[in-house]
Amino acid sequence: MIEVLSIPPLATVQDLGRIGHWRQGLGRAGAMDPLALRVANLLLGNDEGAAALEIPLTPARFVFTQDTAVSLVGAACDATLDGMALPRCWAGSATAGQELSLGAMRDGARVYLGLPGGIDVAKVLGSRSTQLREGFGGFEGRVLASGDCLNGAAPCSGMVPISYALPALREQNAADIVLRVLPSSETQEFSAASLAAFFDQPYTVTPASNRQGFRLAGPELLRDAHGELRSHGIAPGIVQVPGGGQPIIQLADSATMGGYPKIACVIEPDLWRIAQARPGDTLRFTRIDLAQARDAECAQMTMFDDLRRSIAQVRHLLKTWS
Amino acid sequence: MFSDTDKSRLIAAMRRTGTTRLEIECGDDFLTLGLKPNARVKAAPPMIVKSPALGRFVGCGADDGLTVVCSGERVSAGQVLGYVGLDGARVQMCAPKSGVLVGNCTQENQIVGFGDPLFLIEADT
Repeated sequence: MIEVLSIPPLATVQDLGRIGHWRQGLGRAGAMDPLALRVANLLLGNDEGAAALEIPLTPARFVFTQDTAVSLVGAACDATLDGMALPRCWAGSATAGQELSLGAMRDGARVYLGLPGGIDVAKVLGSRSTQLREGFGGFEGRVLASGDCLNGAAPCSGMVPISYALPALREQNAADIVLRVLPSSETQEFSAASLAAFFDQPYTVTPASNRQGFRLAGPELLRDAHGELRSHGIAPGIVQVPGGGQPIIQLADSATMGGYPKIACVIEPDLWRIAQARPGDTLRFTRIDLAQARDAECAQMTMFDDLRRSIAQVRHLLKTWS
Repeated sequence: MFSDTDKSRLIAAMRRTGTTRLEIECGDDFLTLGLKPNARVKAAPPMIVKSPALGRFVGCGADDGLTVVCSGERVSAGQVLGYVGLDGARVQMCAPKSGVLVGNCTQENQIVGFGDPLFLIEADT
């Protein structure tokens, strides 16, 4: 249905992740930006957790080998279909022979390509996500390469183009990406000065950042307590501080255990913002409590409810009036 | 000396080619012919791009990663010009033909109805 003509390494098939295998030492994997993946699926009428292609590096080119619907959601990347510019959040039709081209990414760091019914790869341990470290799941357990062909799991040769306004990565005119965090088990072991710096100063995303985690650079964080910690369970969103005093945010391909002290945990509704941050972007952490975290979760659920309702309304209107 | 037949043929050629004045010198003879200029061919009226749905108008370039399209700019057939948004999801409006965008009939965030004119395009002939 779609053939990869050229693509830099690290593009993988992902869904919402492989939940429930932490105790076996198997991390979650899944989309770094679950918000974009869900939108890419909803615009196509897919189950919102269907598998899509996560593209963290461009330029990339694809050719359609048959008529199909397709969606493209995430970073603005000067995407074109046979030379015609596409919005950054779009689903529509492509015909056999047309070429989809993705240029340099701006305002974001990942793009998700969806196909009708989701990308047709086998479900392994309850998920279609690529488990890169373990080498299974997704498309042959590996990153995509030129010549690979992806198929949608359901036939759909065309649809009226539809789009959506993605939430802004930053507040209007703000330089930093704000991440809401909950305190973690070792938060109170850090010095008052370190805690003040962590919550008041921006931290810069370094190039040493990938699906496992983002290494940040900023004011040094020191712990008042001494001694090594035992390894304990960690999850995507946990902010650890290794010996060097520079924080690491664990992400989709995080390990399941770690022994570095944890200063905070980014709430799940904000994980997509990290996924769309680029090296050099600055992050700012703001402390919230459990009630506020729950409100944030509810707000995101409401956003998706509104989107589902809105898409259904648009489809109904177009069907009725055209 | 120019015969009436010659003059008739020259006038027909002038009409055919849109020439309004002709001066010919031939030995001692001078001939000057003039025709009233034809009214210009009336330009085709601009093509109207109508709203495909009921909702709020959103111009392209605001948050979609595309470039803003302004009046006077060339547009290609199929190029996204804007959207009609319905509480989130948006139906896109594309240029039906290549040409020049000569008018934008609505304001950002204005509520538009199905069939309301949104853009005017002077299509290429």
